[in-house]
Amino acid sequence: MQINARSLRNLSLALGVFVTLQIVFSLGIRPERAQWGNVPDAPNINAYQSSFLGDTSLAHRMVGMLLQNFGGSGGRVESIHEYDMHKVAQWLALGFELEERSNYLPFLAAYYFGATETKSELEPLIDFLAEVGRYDDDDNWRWLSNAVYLARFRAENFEKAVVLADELATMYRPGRPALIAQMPAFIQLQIGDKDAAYAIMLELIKESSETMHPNEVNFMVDYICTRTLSPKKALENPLCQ
Amino acid sequence: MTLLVRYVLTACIRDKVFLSMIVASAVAVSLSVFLGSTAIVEQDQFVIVFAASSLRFLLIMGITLFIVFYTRRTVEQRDLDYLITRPITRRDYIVAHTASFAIISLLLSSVIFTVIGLIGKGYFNAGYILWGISLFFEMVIVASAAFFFSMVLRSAVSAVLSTFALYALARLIGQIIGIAVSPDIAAQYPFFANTMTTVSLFVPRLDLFAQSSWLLYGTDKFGFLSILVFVQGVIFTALLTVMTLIDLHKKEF
Repeated sequence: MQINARSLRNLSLALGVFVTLQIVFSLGIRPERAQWGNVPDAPNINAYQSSFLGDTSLAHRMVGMLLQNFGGSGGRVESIHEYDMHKVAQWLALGFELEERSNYLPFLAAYYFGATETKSELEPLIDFLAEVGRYDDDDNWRWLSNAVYLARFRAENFEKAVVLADELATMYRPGRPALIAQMPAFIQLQIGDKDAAYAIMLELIKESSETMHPNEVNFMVDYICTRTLSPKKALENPLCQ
Repeated sequence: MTLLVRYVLTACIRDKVFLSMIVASAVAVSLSVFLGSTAIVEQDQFVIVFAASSLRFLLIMGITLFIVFYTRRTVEQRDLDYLITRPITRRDYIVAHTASFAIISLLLSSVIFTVIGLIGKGYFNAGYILWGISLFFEMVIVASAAFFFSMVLRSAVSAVLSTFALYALARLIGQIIGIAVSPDIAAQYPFFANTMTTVSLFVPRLDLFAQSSWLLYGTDKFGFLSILVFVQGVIFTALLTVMTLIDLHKKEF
């Protein structure tokens, strides 16, 4: 009985020592925090997919969650402009390859990461959105139009904006917004090439006025007469009579 | 035969498999809703995918653990010896157990199908039916594998690990075949490519079963995939049942 009581006392003492050591250790490491190591390289698609036992949809959603929360580390939140957007674009491409029908990653690229104030960092995002826009789907043209917007207004890369707008215009079909076909004219006018904008709009009226809504045709006539032509030239142009 | 089926179902209820699965499913769905709601957009889609994937994995774990521990207990407590001294043949014993595990799979997969149907009622399409059917067959295949390994191996831990290993391999076999037959790999590592191609002949294609993407975007191959899932389910379950039967026939009591 005495031995048991002594053993219990020794064990209680040992317990007290280890609890104290744990508290001292915890106090010592309290200032340590997980470090923000920026966005890591995206893994190989096969390796990543294997982590989810081949469930591509789950793997895709997890990429989305990871991207959305990359900058949050141990109670600290990193600003978007701290992100390495080239690596973000790698992750976006990985996620898109896993599930091409989801709009989550293009949305993140256009409206979340697209908010970065560093113009050069927008380039990989624009390329990603353009890639998604080229994917053969009824609605994916809108991601290409987002790429045009980012290139023109945020990155101010006019050359790329023109190329992408031309590509977007090829996606116009009756039933889709006329904006798709009109985009090259808008971009040309914004970079100061009124002649090109005029030619594009005129061509559109000739080719598509029968299939477009009358309001769209009226808009294009008004655009030609008030935006691409000077008042004097507008008076001489039969379209503006 | 009917008595044996009732015996297994009673064991299942006594082991609180249904109750445990319902509680675990409630936790999994709650976590899925919590995680999904943190997404910036497409929250519903996140919840459906997280819930479907976690519940599928939960079912596989649940049925494997139940079958392995039930079977090992039956063997170790001499219930098996007792049962086959009765006018029950070894074949009846195996067939009745396989049928019982299929019934349990049907009940559990029906519950999960209903839960996923309720979560994703706004997206309901033919893909849900295919997902439910393939979840059932996936469970039946895994249940048959768990039964086979627990009859063959003496250790419950080994049987559980072997079942999970086969399941993981079966879920990844599509990708593995894709890697093995790619020209680069086939040229650089012909031994690996040939080995994996041969192995793939004996592994069920579970990567084609219960795909979460069907719940969101449906499928345009409903007929083909339904037949594939049914045929694969029947063939591999029959294969495992025959293997279990051969093992039991060889056993001496």
